[in-house]
Amino acid sequence: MRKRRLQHLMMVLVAVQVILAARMYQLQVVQHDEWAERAHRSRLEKRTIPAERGRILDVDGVVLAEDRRSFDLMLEYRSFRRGQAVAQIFELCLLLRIPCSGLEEAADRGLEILDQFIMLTPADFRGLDSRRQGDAVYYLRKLAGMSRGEAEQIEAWLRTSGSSFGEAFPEAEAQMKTHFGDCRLRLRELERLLGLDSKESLIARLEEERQSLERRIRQQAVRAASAEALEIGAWEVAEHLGVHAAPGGHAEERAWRVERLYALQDLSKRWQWAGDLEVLAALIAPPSGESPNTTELGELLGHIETVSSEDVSGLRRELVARVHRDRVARLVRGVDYEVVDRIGQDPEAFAGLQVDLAADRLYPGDVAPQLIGNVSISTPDDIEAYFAQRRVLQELAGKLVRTQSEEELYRELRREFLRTTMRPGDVLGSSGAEWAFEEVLRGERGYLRELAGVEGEDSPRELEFVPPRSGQDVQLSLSSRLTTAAERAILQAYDIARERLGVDRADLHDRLRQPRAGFAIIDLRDGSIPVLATMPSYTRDQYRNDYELLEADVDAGVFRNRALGGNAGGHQTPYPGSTFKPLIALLALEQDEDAWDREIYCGNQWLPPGQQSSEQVRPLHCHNHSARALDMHDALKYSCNTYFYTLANEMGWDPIWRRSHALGFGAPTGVELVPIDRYVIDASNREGGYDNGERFKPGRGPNRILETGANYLASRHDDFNGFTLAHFGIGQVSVHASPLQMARFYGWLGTGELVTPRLVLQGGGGAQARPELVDVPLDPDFQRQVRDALRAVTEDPSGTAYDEHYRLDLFRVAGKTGTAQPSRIHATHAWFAGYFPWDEPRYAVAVLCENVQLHGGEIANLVVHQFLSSEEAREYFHEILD
Amino acid sequence: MAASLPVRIWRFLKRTDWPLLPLAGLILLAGLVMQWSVGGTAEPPLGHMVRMSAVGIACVMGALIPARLWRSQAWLIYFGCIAFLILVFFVGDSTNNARRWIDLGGGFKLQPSEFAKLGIILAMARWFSSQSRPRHLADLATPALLTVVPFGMILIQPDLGTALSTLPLFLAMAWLAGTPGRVMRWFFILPVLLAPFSFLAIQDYQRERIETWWRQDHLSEEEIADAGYHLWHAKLAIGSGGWTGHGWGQGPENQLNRLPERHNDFIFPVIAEEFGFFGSVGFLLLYSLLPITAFMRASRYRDPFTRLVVAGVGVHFATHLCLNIGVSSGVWPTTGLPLPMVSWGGSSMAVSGLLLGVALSAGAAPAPLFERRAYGGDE
Repeated sequence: MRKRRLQHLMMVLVAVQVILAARMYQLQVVQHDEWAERAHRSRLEKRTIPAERGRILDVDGVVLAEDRRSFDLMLEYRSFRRGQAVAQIFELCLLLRIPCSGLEEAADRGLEILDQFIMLTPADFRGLDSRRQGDAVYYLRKLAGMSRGEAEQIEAWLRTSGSSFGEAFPEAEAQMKTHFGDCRLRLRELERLLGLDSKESLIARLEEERQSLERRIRQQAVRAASAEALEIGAWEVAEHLGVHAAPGGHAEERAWRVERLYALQDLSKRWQWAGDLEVLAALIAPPSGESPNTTELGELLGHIETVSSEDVSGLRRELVARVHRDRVARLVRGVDYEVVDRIGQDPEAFAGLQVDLAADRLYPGDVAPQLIGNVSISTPDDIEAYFAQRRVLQELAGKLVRTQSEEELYRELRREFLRTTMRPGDVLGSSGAEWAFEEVLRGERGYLRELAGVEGEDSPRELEFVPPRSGQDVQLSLSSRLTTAAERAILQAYDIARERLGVDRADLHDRLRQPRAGFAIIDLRDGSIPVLATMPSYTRDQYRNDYELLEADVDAGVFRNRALGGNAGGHQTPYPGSTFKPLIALLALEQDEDAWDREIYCGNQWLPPGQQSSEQVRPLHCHNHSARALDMHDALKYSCNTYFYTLANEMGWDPIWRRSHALGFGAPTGVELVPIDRYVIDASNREGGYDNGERFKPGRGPNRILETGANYLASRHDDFNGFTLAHFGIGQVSVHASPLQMARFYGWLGTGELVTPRLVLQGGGGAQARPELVDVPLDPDFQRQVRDALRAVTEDPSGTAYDEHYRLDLFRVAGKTGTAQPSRIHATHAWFAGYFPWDEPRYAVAVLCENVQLHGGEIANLVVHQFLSSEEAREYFHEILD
Repeated sequence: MAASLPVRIWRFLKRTDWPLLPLAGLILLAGLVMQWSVGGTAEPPLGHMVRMSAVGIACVMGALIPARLWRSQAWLIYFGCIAFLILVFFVGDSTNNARRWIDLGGGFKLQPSEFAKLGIILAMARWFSSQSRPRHLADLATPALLTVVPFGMILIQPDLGTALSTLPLFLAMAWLAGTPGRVMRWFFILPVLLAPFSFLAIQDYQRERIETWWRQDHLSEEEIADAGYHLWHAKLAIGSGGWTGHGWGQGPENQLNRLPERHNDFIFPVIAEEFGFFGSVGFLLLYSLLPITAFMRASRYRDPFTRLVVAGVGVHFATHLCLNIGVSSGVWPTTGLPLPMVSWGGSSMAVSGLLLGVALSAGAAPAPLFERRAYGGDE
């Protein structure tokens, strides 16, 4: 029985072996070709070629942003050190510990050092381990122009001969010197072609890049040694030791600090570190953006090698191979075709220096730079981060067992890697339309597939070329001509206003010298935006050359797009002021249809019912007309504050908030540039029973600031009172709005339909999520009454927007002026918002002139007038204006 | 007059399962050759040679300890192993995401789960040899417990591969102890019934690996870069080997460092890549001879303890061989398990040597060593 049972076991074993052997046969024989092909393909390295980015066009097809092909000179140091005598001399010096500070010295003292090489004897190689000796033989052979087969002769010389290298290989000296001389000549020639002067020599740039590589190698080596000593992953070192890596939460942070201290103490003990622990931490995991001193890193590594060699054993060679392989650095951008041609003629002679196709982003006309945005190219740090992230991913992917936290890290990193990590040569939109439509504009990279060889083999051979696919064009509804005309109109209007100022208002002259204004027009048929102008602006040259100056002028805020509000706040807070009053008028009409004829007495002062003037309670004022009783038509025409204080107090908070919310106040406008986040607030914070709690705010990304601060609607305060309501009634404090938001609101007043602004005509891909439009009812009778009043504002000589020299009624523009007070001490904003033509509105317009300390009718209406008077506007709006 | 040392060694070897030694030597040599290739250096891998010497030392130590002592101390060894498994939770090093090792200092680490296999083999051999033939499921409760306790402890380290490799020991030894087929079948039926529940209990990445294994011929690029990474690269290496392979030290997957864990759990794909179908099947045959020889030798012994120990050693090597190569070639889902005497792990090496030593020691004992069992003498 025992034998039989053992035989059963053997049979099971044999059966499994047969299955395994059959599987081997299947994989290695039957499917061999398939797997060999797959293995071959998996070893193909992709060298990607950037795609041409799509253009951004205006409504007329005028190019606002486009790519121009250019060539960049790139350095791949691994090939450079293998192919260029200067680098070979330096690397050999490093290996043999012959003093040489870098490539520059190797180039300057090359002949002298070569003489030293000629005198080398096998004894000079004795102290080297086999790998370093192999490397030294490699460089010596390359310098002497010897073939791979001749390496064996050098190795034989190292083993047997006592003679010098020059004696053993008599032809080597001449070869070395010729090789070195040719290399110097070629580099000088390239330098000349690149137009570099002696102060900025090519070799200096090469040395700078080499040092940067060396710094990275040392930094990574120190980090890897710490990881080895602490028995954690290299990617965890910064998390454990980084100065700014403290996790959130007080208890967590405290625990982290204790652990960090223990880890540093462990390292200090292991490495016999006598210095400050924080200095050690800063060397291992420097704060983001800071690089520790290369020399200090080198000293630390040398020290570790002496006291704890197992922590750094074999690290340097591995890191050199990895960093030199990964890093392709951009030496010179936009080189001439002469350089491309020269390198193309003899690529082997220029080994390590290659020309890559790149693209410059051009912005003809510098139109609306805040709107069009910018692109950024991958920096050396981005590229380093890319490779570091790729390594961590590969390491994590290669683990047979991943903990929960590692699994989470792995997935997070992969998501980030695929979506946001910049690859070498990547150009990504970083703001404005360039960012918002990135997916469409970017296109697809092309690639060359090259077979990866085993280390030390010949260069890879080119196998496959897939051309890049250009990105798609995006056509905006914006008109560059109109936008330019709008900017000009703003300047003209400010000039007019300044000229009109009397001596007594001379203090305002300076304020009006640099316009700070936003101007938006919406086409009410489809929501397209022909004008979205902002002042002051900047040119791309200023952006490139004087960025810091521009950024430092916070008051001017040139990077803000004031038509969208653009990160407004403080004294720039855009309260809509009196341009908000028509909403109150409509609400009053809805509550009482006789309200139109109802007269309210304005004594130029107002207090909430039941309140008496005192030290603490000061009345609100109305200086827009003389004391008298007004009906709603006149109240709008004269922009009487008292009238709307009273109405707002009578109707209470909820109806005003409810309608404002429905009309889009307090939320992003939905223009495609700005991503939108939808969220729901809990029931206790909702405004009365009708609020479904749905809210919108700008989503993530750089474009969120485009509308930040501009579109705000206050929640109901529990302690709101007559004053709060009164301010709400005249568009102060509780509501902020951008010119685009106000144009949208006036569009609704004009047509009864609330449009979502649309910046993209074609392309653009999936536009950003927009708030859903609510159908906001508008009674035609009330609409007509309010429209009549808004017409009177511009047409009637007593209307606030009537200007006998700059008459808006000639363009059939109806609207409302506004003067918003951001605070008691800051200068007021001037507004004009309206639509045209008044009988059949097709365009809504809004202008905000920030902190001008003028009434809306003194400047904002002038902007609209000057704009509509321009040739460009007459041409564009000829159907309406003629 | 006492015989000289060589004569005594010769007599010892003649009495024992000496054919295991040349086989183990050949396997070790194959391991050395492959580790050399994996290292990619001009010099032989000294570290691996040191580990190889651990096999020899452990083997000699195991063989020198008399079989009587192995038997009498079987429980002590078993519970010692359990104590180590408990200890590892408190003082174990958390490396490579698992708490499996005890740092002995000086760069040496002990993996108690490897030694647990020795404990299981000895304890079960002792149990079965001292009991009458198991006839009912209940008769297997104790040996099952002897296996399940270390199995569970290894599983939560976590080390699924090593944990799984203990189960065949129980099944095979229960079978060799004479458990009827009607009882044994439950051990095949129950796992099938419980499999869906265990699928829910395992970790996400393990579930993904099972799923990708199931769909291994239809993996997307994302899956190849993720859960199917090991399997895909192992198959690339094996499949691209063809009939004769790329040659020693020439396998691109190996040399370009693309095959993960290739010095350890995925050493077989390196063999297959560099020596092709002939090399991989040749290696399979060579390695199979070790457990087959152990089984054949075991059948010679009338003493149940000896028979079970020698067969248990064979089962240990057979299990590792089948699981390791099956995982590498996609026959089973991916899990980590070294190939004893070929892979890199020092504990695995030492335990392999020790097991061979125990088998030699048990086989060398003068027969009959112990009392005959009721079921033992029917042939």
